[in-house]
Amino acid sequence: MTQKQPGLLLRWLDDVNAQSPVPLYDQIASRLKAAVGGGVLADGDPLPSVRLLAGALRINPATVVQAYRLLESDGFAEMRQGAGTFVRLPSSEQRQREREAQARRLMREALAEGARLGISAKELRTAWDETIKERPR
Amino acid sequence: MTDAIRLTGVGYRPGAGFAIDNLSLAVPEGAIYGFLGPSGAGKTTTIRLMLGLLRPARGQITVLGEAVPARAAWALGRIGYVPERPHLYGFLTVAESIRFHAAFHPRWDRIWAAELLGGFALPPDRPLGRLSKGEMGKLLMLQALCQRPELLVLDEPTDGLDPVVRRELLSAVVEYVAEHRATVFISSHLVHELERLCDWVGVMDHGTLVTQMPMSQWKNGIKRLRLTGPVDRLDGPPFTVLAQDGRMPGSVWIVDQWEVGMAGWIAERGVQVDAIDDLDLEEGFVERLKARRAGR
Amino acid sequence: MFTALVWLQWKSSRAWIVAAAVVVIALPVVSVVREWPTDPYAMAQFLGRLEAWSFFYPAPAAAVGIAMASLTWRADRAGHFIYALTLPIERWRQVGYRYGAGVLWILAVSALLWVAALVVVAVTPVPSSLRSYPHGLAAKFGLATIAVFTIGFALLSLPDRSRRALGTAAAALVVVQVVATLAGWEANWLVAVFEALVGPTGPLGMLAGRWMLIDV
Repeated sequence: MTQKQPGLLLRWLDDVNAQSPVPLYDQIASRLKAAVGGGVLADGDPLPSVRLLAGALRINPATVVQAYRLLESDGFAEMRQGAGTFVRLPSSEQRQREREAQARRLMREALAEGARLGISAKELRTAWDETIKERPR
Repeated sequence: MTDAIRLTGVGYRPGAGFAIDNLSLAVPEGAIYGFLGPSGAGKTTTIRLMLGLLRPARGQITVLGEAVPARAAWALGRIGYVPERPHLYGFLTVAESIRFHAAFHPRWDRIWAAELLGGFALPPDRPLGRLSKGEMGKLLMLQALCQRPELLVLDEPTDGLDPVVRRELLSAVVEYVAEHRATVFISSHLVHELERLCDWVGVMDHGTLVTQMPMSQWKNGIKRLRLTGPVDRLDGPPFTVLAQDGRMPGSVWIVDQWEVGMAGWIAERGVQVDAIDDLDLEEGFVERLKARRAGR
Repeated sequence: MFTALVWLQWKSSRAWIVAAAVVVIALPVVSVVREWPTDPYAMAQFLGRLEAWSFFYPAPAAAVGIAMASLTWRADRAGHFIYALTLPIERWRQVGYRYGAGVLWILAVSALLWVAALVVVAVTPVPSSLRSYPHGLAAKFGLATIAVFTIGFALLSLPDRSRRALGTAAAALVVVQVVATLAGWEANWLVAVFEALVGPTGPLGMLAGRWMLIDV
């Protein structure tokens, strides 16, 4: 892995937001999953050390450990004792499951935001269909 | 799990008007403990009591297993302290100040000190009296970190510094903690800084502790509810109501001690729960403080 | 730690230490060279003129003693002693070390005076009727400076409240003395206090008396 990659990764992670209802470790894990899915991280690439990532994001080191654990249990990474955490390419089945989970998460967020503004699910669905149609292909 | 800092029933009265009264507080070992409170709440006085700079009139203070102030000198060798206002000797240069400080700390990390000196872009030959506020903040942090403390006590370490310097300082703290598993006690009024960093929160007001709990509990316990319907039927709820606002169509309630499943209790009484929102640390802090002052 | 505090004392009061060193080296040399009589029978006048230099020894001793004492805690005072109090060292030990650091520099200056006096005496043909006192002079200088430093250091190491109480007591004594004098009482406490301090047995008695390198 090249030297500049940690910097690139950190830019992916720089916008994690502690005020968001989504826990920080979850935000970090899903961004890293996206990086794996998008090919920014290849199989076997080392993830930044807990010290480096926590320091760069100024977050609790335990949060980074939690994010890496989540990645591992979802099959996106492997923690090797004393060596660090490394990317594992998940099976296509796992990847598909992950994409579906991400899509559901996005929808849930839209629904929650809609509820906050008093917009019903039905109105959202109409808006969604219209937006899809308008989108240039 | 033992506590790195424990105050039990501490009382201190520096003069008429202000007093620390029956203050009890516990910081678990390994925690990053955010210490919140409005200015004048007694945060700095509490920190000075912890370090043995002030002698409490009542109560016990234990820091890293040492009774304070009696054995403060032993505890201080294991505590890195960044004070609210700089206190170093203005006639020394940066390099001299570091050398002097290192002489008192046998575990001094020379290699990291040299690294940080460069990383922080501190001019070694400049007298401390001519340092900018940001440079002084960096020097104080360097000295506190390189003594390899088991406990870091940071009193508004980023107060009045620009965002770039603030980030550098906090990054250095986090990197140290990640490597050495130290406990951090950090007081700051920049609440959003603490939000992403801390796993414990304590709130102080008028010389006493309002509340302390793990951050996860803090964030899960307090919610903003949007309700429609006959809210006056919600009598004797299983949660604490911190604030109610009924001016909008529907009501907005801020509640504490919320648990999953309590929405059912509301629905049973014919009230519709439109939304359950999280509050960020700052909002939660303000609401809890307001409720406390209103005597709720 | 002690070494660091000795070095800190040097950093804070080196101007005074260097100035004192120059003065104590110059004093024996200049006084004897200037006053040494061309006529070997004029020894009595020589001693008289040398005695006039006697004042120049206690003056720097007092000045250095006061300066060192006031510079010891000066930087700490600006920071409300927070740095000193958060150093991992017992309070009594730090006070002792700071005092020791001041004494060490005073001894160094006294040692320079001693060496200068020894050299001057060695190259001066002192007649058999007279004697030279390089050891005594240097010891007297050192002890007098340390006495002044000790009193100043003690006063400045006291908590502000105790120092204020002491100042109030001194002011009260002056007021009582003035009232008593106006009332026609014979009592003279101020003079008594002054004599107790500077008299031959007082802590500052060392500053008075004869400071002669060559004497009968």
